[in-house]
Amino acid sequence: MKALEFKFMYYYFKVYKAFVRNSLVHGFSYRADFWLVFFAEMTFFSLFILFYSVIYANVPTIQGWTFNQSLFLISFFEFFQIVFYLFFHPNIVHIPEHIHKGSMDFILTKPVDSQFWNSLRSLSAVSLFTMIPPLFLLLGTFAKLNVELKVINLLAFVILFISGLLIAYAIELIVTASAFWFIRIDGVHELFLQTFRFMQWPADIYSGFIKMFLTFIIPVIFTVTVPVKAILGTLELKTALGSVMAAALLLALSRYVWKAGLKKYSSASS
Amino acid sequence: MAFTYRIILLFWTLVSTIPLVIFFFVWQAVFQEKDLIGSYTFGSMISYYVAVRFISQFVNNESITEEIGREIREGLLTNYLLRSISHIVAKLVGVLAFKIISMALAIPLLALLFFWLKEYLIFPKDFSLYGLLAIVMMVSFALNFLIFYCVSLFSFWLIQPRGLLSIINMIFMRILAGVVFPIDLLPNFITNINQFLPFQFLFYFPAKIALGQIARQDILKGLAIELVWIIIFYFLIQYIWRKGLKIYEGVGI
Repeated sequence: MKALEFKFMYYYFKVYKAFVRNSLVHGFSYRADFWLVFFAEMTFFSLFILFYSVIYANVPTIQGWTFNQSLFLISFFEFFQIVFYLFFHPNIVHIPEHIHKGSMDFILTKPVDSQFWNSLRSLSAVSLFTMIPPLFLLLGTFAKLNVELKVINLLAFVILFISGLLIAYAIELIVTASAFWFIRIDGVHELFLQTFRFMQWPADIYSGFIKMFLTFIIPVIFTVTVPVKAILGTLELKTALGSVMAAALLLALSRYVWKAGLKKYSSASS
Repeated sequence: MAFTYRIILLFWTLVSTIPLVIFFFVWQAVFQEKDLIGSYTFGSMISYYVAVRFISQFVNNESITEEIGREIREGLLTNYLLRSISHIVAKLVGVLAFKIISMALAIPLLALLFFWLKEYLIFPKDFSLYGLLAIVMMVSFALNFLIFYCVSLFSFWLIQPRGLLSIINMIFMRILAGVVFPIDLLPNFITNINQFLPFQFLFYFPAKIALGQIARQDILKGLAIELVWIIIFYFLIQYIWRKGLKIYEGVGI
C-alpha cells in the first residue's frame, strides 16, 4: 500500500516537472511583454506607497499599525500575489473558456487528474522576475521593523504563507468552477481578485459585516495580514490554527465542487 | 448584445464598488486618530468617494482602449474605413448607447450606497448646483472620451499596448484625476503641476462641485479650461490618426 502511494506521488511529481519545463521554455519567448508587466507592477507599487505616505503624513498609526509595518504588509501583499500568479492564477482563469468551448474534453482524456491539470498546468515564468523587487522590498522593510526574528515566528510565517496560498487557490477555484453551472461567466475570477484587494490594508481596520464576510464567507483575511502578524510576533494561536483549518476545509470543498461540476459538464461537441 | 447579459453587468457594477468599501474602512481607521485630514472631515471624505463613484459611472470610457486596440491589431478597423461614417463618431455613438444601460444600473447601486452611508454623507441641498454639475459631467465625459480615444491610437505602433495602457491608467486616471484619493491631499508641487494637466477635470473637479466646495465663478472657469483641452485633444487625435493610418497594415485584407 505504502509503495503504491509513493509511486502515485512520484508520478505526479514527474508530470509537474514536465509542466514546469514546458512553461519556462514557452514563457521566456515574449521579452517585450515581460518588461511592460514588470514596469506596471512597479508603478502600481510606488503609487501604493504614495497613498500610504499621504495618510501617514497625517497620523502616526492606523489601528496600531505604523508606517513601516504597513510597508512590510504591502510588500508581502505584492509578493504573495506574485507567488499566487506564478503557480495558480494563469491556469484557473482559463477554466471557464475550457468549459464553454468544450476543450475540457481533451483535458478529461489525459492520464492525470483534471483538477490537477487545470490548477497547475502552466507556470507564469514572468512572475519569477517580477517577484524579485517585492522580495527585496520585503527584506528591506523587514530590516526597518526592529523586530527580533525568532525561529518559531519564522516557522509560523512559512506555514501560514503556504496555508494562505492554498486558501487563495481554493477560493479562486471554487468561484471559477461556477462556470460549470453558468456557462457564460468569463472573468468571474475578478470577484476573487477584487475581494483579495481588501488585503492591501491591515485587516484590523475592517469591522462588522465586512469582517465576518472576509473571515467566513470569502476568507481572504488569512492570506496576508495573518502571516505578517506571525513575523511581527503579534499573532494569536487560535488565528493561526484557524488559518490551517480553513485551508484544509476549503481544499476539501474545492475538490467537492470540482467533482460536482464535472458531473454537470456537458461537452460542447458530443 | 449588451442587454443579454444584464445580470452580469449588475454583478460587475457591484464588484466595482469594492474599492469604495475598502476606502470607507481605511478612512474610518484614519479618522479615528484625527478629526481633520487636510480640509476633510470623515463625512466629506466619504461623500467625495461616493461622488467619484457615481461620476465615473457616467464619465469613464476606459473600456474603449481595449476595443479600439483590438480593432487596429486584428485589422477590423478596415470595416470602418470603408464606411461613410468616421471611426470616432461610430465609437462615440456606441459609448453613448452603453451609457444608458450603465446609468440605469447605477440607480440601484446608488440607492444601496445611500442606504449604507446615509449618516455620513453631506451633500449641499442646492438644486441649481446639480444643474451645473450635470453640464460639467457632460463636458468631462467628452474630455474623457477624447483622452482615452487618443491613448488607444497608440495601438498603431505597439503590438501589446496593455502594459503601457495600464501604467497610463494608474498614474493619470487614478492618481492625478483623484480616483484613489482627493488630489488636494497630495504634496503641493504635484498639485501645481496638475493645474496644467487635463486629468483633474475628469473626476476630481465634478466631485468637488458635488460637495459644494467650488465657487460658481470657478466652476465656469474650470468649464472654459476643459473646453480648451477638448479642442487640443481633438486636433491631437486628427494628427495621430493621420500618422497612424499611414502605417496601418489592415491585417487580413
